[in-house]
Amino acid sequence: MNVEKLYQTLNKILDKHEIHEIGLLPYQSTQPNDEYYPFLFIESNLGIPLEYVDKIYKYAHGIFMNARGGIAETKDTVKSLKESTRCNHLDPINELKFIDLLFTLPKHTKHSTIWFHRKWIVLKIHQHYSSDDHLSSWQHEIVITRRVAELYPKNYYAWTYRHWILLNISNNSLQSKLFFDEELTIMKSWVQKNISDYSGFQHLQRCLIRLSKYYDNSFNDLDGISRKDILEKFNFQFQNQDLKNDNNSNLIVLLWYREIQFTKDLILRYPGHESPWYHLRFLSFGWKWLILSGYLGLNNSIEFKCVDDDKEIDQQNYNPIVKEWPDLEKDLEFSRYCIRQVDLMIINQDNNERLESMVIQKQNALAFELWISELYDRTRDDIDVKELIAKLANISMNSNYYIVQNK
Amino acid sequence: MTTEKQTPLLVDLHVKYIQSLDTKKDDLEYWLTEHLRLSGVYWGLTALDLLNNVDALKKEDVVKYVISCQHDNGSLSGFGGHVGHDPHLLYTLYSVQILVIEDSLDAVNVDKIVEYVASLQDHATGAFRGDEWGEIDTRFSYGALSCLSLLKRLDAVNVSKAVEFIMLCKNFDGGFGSSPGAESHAGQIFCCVGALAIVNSLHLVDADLLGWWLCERQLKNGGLNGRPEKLEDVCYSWWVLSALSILGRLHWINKEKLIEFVLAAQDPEGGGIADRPGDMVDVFHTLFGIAGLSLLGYPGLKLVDPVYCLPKHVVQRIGLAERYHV
Repeated sequence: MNVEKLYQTLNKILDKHEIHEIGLLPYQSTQPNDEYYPFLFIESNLGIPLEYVDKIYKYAHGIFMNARGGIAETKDTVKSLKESTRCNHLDPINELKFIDLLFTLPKHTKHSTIWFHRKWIVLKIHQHYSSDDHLSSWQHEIVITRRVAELYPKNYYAWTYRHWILLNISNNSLQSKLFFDEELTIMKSWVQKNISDYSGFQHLQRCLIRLSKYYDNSFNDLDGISRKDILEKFNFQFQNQDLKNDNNSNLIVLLWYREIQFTKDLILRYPGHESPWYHLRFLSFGWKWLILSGYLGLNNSIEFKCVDDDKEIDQQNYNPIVKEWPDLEKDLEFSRYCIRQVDLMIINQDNNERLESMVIQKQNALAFELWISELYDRTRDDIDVKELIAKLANISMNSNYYIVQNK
Repeated sequence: MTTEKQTPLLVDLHVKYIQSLDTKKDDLEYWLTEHLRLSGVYWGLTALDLLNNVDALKKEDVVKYVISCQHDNGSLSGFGGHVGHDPHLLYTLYSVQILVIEDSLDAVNVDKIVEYVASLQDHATGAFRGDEWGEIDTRFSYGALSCLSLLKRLDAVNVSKAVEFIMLCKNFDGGFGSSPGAESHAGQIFCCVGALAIVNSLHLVDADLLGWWLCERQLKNGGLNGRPEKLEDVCYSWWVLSALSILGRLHWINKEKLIEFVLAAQDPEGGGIADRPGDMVDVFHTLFGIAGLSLLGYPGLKLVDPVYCLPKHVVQRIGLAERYHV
């Protein structure tokens, strides 16, 4: 088939219709007398037969390069798009729709350039509207990242883009608070359905930090702070910190406490996944931060149990071990409870897949014990920690890490 | 696996595979990857050198091609991913790496490259932009510092500010992400640890904490993933391993199982290495598989430098010190 004709037909479709999804077809299913033959066009969905893709691509590539002034001085596609948008040759809103369309092909969602171009356009569009109107635009952006994350799970760029959305929403209006609340709710339901998606948990962490910052603008967003840092630098820096006991500080503590319960419950219900255990590592780190920075005293759990007598948690029907007030001993207890569960189940298990997930659950529980022991300042010379490492060396066959540590 | 006899590294086939890459102009894939052409030359050439076959690509052609990707436009004199493509920091790094391997830096105007790279630093944060449009990523911090270090011109940028930005991207687990608050990712960790090594700041890395996280990337089949509960992938044999190697903790992973995994991802007919056994090969995974094997001490390969991802003899030739093993 004549490539010029193909190119023209394709352009006709693109000029006349709004397209929502593009697919490459392994075979041709239209008749020569169809209007857009050989392309398939049904309800805003465009299908391109695979056998013509390279022909059209090479042809269009030539036209594009020539249009930009010949091989020697051509510009990249994205740069040309930016320049055209800047000079108002392209409508930025259509440009966003074009990217929406590109993202229907999973491969394109892994190009950071396209995501950056999207940021650039969104900010461009926002210049023309007052900031009150931005929220609905941000909501649309959330929808797009969600669709991409469904199409291409754990897509790094989609999730960092989603963090960026949170950072762009000011934290001083009730509307923003509702936005953050909504996002937290969405993420809790997301991780329940995608239990092995650590990227989802990690975004949930961003939501917690963002909401905490809403309650207290001085809340640290924890950028650049590791477990080692809070043990060494901040332990010292925060000495004699006054206890913050205002209502907003209590709301922050409640937020994290609920998240810890939610996560422990997930771990009990879906054994054998690294992601919720890693999330629990983060939460224990955050909890320690709350203690160090004065949001939470070492002994004010009783007070909080009263605050948190609310129905929400009781309705959840959590196992009592999940509801324990988090501290070193209670967290170790939780982990040991998980291990006892596993040991009971392993005995009568002849399903290999389930057996494997039990072993993973046990490894993760032990590793969490190691994590939390060190978080609360126990060193590897400590007898309990040594015993833990010996256990880990015994069941972790993957890397040499625990074997080396055990020597 | 243990009963089967392991296929050794298929050196001749890999050399042929890399040589054949520029002859596939009828494939759609060739056209769709045009923006990666220059990167492909860096990946291929480095792999060939490690395989003791650097001459398999004609030096003259390689240098001529690289020069044809450079722009000559004041402060925008970086390199594009192919002839006629926009200048970008990453392709500028690849160009410098290729020219260093070919010992041909004198073929280009080094001052212009330095000026271009320096123009990409954001003075407020110390971060680097990938190009004039402003995308920020710790990959670019590595790209800039590695490039300037190879050109011996680190003085052209604010190094302490650059370090400040990288450290802001450190996470609770000791890992690093692409920007402040972004998830720890083994690829970004290589970039951040490598960049810190280049500017003598490895003391800022939480080596034990990060080393633990990196070791947790090794899976039952011996392969490494780049983030929790992701699939194993040969390229992480480089990203994870180079970081461990820079931190002097390579013995924390199971080398034998990883070697087995990488070798199983070779194409025994056409050469090249895939992301994992059974998949299609590409030059990117071919380099990182071979470079990983080199770090693991696989016999017959030249040694690779874990910081610069260049053959060690090249880094030594230009007189850069070994900047790893804290």
